[in-house]
Amino acid sequence: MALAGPRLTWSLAALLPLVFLGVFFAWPVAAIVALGLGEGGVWPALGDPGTWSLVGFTLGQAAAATVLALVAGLPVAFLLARCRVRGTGLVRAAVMVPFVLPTVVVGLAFRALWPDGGVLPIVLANAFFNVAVVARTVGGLWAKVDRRAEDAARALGASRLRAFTSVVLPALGPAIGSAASVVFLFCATSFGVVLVLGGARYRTLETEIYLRTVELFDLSGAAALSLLQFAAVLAVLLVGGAARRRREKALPLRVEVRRRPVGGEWGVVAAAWLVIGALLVPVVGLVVRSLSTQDGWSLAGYRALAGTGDRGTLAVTGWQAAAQSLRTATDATVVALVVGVVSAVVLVGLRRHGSWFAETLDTALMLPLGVSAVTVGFGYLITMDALPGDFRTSPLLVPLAQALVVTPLIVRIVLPVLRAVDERLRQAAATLGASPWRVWREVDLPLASRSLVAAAGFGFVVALGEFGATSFLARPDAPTLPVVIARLMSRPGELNSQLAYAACALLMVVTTAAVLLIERLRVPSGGEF
Amino acid sequence: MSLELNGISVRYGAVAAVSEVGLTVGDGEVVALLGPSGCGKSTLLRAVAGLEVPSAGVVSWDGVDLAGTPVHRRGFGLVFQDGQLFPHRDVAGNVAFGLRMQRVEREARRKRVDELLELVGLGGYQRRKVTELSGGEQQRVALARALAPRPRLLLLDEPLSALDRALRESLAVDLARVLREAGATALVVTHDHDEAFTLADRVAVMSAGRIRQVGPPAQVWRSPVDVEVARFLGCGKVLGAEAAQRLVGVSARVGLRATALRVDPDGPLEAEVLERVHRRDHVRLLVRLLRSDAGSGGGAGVDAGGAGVGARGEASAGAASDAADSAGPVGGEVGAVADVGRGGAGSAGTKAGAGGRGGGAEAGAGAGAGAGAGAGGVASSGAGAGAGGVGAGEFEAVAPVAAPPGPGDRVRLAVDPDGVAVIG
Repeated sequence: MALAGPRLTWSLAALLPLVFLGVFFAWPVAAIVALGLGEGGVWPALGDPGTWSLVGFTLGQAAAATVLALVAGLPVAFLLARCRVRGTGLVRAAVMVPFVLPTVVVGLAFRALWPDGGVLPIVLANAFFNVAVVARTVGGLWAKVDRRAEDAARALGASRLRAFTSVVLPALGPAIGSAASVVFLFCATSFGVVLVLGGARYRTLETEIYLRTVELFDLSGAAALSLLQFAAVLAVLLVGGAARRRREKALPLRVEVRRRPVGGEWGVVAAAWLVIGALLVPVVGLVVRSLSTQDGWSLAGYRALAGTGDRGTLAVTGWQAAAQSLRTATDATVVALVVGVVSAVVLVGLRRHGSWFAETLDTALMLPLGVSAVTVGFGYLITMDALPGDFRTSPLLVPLAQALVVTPLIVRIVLPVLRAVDERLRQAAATLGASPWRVWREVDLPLASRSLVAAAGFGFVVALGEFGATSFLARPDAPTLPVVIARLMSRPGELNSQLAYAACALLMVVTTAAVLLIERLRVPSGGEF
Repeated sequence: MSLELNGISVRYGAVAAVSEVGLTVGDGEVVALLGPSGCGKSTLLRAVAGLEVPSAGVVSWDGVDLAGTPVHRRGFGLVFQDGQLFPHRDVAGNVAFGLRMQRVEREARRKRVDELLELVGLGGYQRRKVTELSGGEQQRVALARALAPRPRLLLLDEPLSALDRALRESLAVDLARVLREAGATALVVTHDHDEAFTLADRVAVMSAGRIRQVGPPAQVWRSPVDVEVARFLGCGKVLGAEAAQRLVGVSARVGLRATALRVDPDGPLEAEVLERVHRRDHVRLLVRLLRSDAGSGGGAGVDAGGAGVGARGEASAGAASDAADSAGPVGGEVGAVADVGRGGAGSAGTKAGAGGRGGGAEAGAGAGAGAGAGAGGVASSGAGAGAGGVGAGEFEAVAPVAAPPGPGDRVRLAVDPDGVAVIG
């Protein structure tokens, strides 16, 4: 009975994330799939060569962006993990800013540089987002790879480059694989960037689903594409999950001391700084664009935030949208924190008892990251009216959709920290009279508190910029800033675009401030992102 | 106020870590669970704490079955090998943890913390960070933390093993004092018999998941219940009753520790030194016995000579097969001898088996060469005990550090009864 007790408790606790995932993810997605299959539009869509050229473009641009992000991210990872040079803290924060910038903002920032859009800015923008993922994930492992193996190779006559390719690179393999799969996933399902930069010419599965649903009302076609995307995402997640497990099983690591670069390493450091410089170009470009009008420098865009755009393009003022954004993101963060932390605790607890269920839950929690937010948003529209009190008009609808996107990130940040807590520390507390709940409060919570705050800040920022699902679900009279920006850009008028750039700059300031705050709180070994 | 274990078994899948263990720990008594690594002693301790669920048997306190009592309601304190202090709390915060769980008033808590830190010799350490303490200090804090809520029973899992030797020995004495002063009822798990004998009122020797012998330290030390326990308690050489009668004048199977034979100019035994290794406070020798002035056999049994060669054939073969097992230290290098010196279980208590076999290897080689090893009786009894720690005809002995004999020297030896354990 003593064994059945904890098992039962864990299973009950697992209900919360399972119900959350079931109601707000699996059900809507399943409804979309059923809709697609039911109307028989799947096979024609799969037989259409246009579909496959869409798939080709989606995967092609994602692959290109992934390679670019890897090439740009590795020097930064080296700089962060191994080098003791001035300004590393600045690099750490600077590389993180693009990752949390709202997609619409990034799309607009690149449009400020390439007004006509095109394939190149799409690939660049997607890579721009994800340099941080590579730098963080790979850098995190790199900082712990035993330098002595490299030294041994050098002592055996390997050149610095040879030692890197034959010793360091294989050791980093799991992290590189894991980062690549996550980046690929993000790029393949990237929505805001492609919509803003590609327009109607360059379409990925994600934007096509959106266009077919919203503009063409081709629901079965959209559902067919959703299915296709879902299959691809699942495949990538499984590959990434395998890489992650290999990393967690990795042999003894130790925290390596960072030291001053020598010789050719300075070249790598220079490359890293170059990458950081390149990352700043769109950011600065955006600010410059928000301040310049046809008549020279002006704050007109910022002043316009108090209004509703050119001839009432918007239903609300810029500031009202900003306030709505803050409210929504706060609600989403609270929901995601509760679900994410419970999930992480359950995963840690279940793993202690050793269970395939934990593995499954772990992967299931990552699924929302990869499934088109557009699909989810669309799914909400056709399912949520079945919930009591017509959920479609509930002010909680948007926060719940955003929470779905944020939860996996929170799990990935908090879980490694909780897993690193020695089980015997909990046992020590238990023998001193602490009940399981008290153990959690006295041991896990304090040890994970910094990563919890970081996760909350991170989740808040991501919710603030969420565009895919929000654009579907936000009511016209209560849009968030990203929705407002997209609407402004789709309408003509100098004031509209000026206002859009100003709103982008505003979002950027908020997210950058949040990132800097998170950086101060970050524990050295915490989290994957 | 007593712990009672009845038929406890713990299984991990098909592996039985603990089998049908029965043991009682009385009020105020300190019992040591002593055994080699992997013998199941820590698992047993965890079962008592409630951290493992026995597959069979009953853990009871004052006759009440604890099966339904979760860890945190048992009131058993636990000290881990490596402290496991809460890194986010200072020393006082760690020690006060159990008191807070009991909702003890702040002022009373403070007094109790001060009292315990004084007891473990860390007065004034209240506000120190635990991450900045040395290993020994951390263990003292862990001990104070476990004692603070006045546990009904204190469980110590290898409490000193993570410390270096000098610290371990001084802390063992301190720990014994603290346990007595606190009047603690305690169960200590250790693989180190010095530690067990320092701390415990009774010692339970465990092997392969079972308790082999329970008794007061002196009794266990002097009369191990079987050969395996004797070997674990440092007897590198086991003699049959007949040989024991001739050599040490005891008509029973005996185990000899290295200290059983001491260099003594007036001693009755004569031996040739084969190897020598310096230890901390003595010199350890590997010797081959040549002749004995003592024993009822009037020296016949231990006399050197060719008469025993035929009889010894078997013994040599047995020892030689031991040699094949370990296949290492035949060259008589110092490293090999050091292993011999450590014998069956040595004071450090590590790698005991391997060390013992090393000795067998060399002895086998020597005897196989027919180099005129000691009495046939001694040789065959050594082989008869199986897998001898030290080979046929060869013995361990100790010499004083000042002017010790070297290889090739002839020495006289006396028997020290403290080094002789009567088996059974």
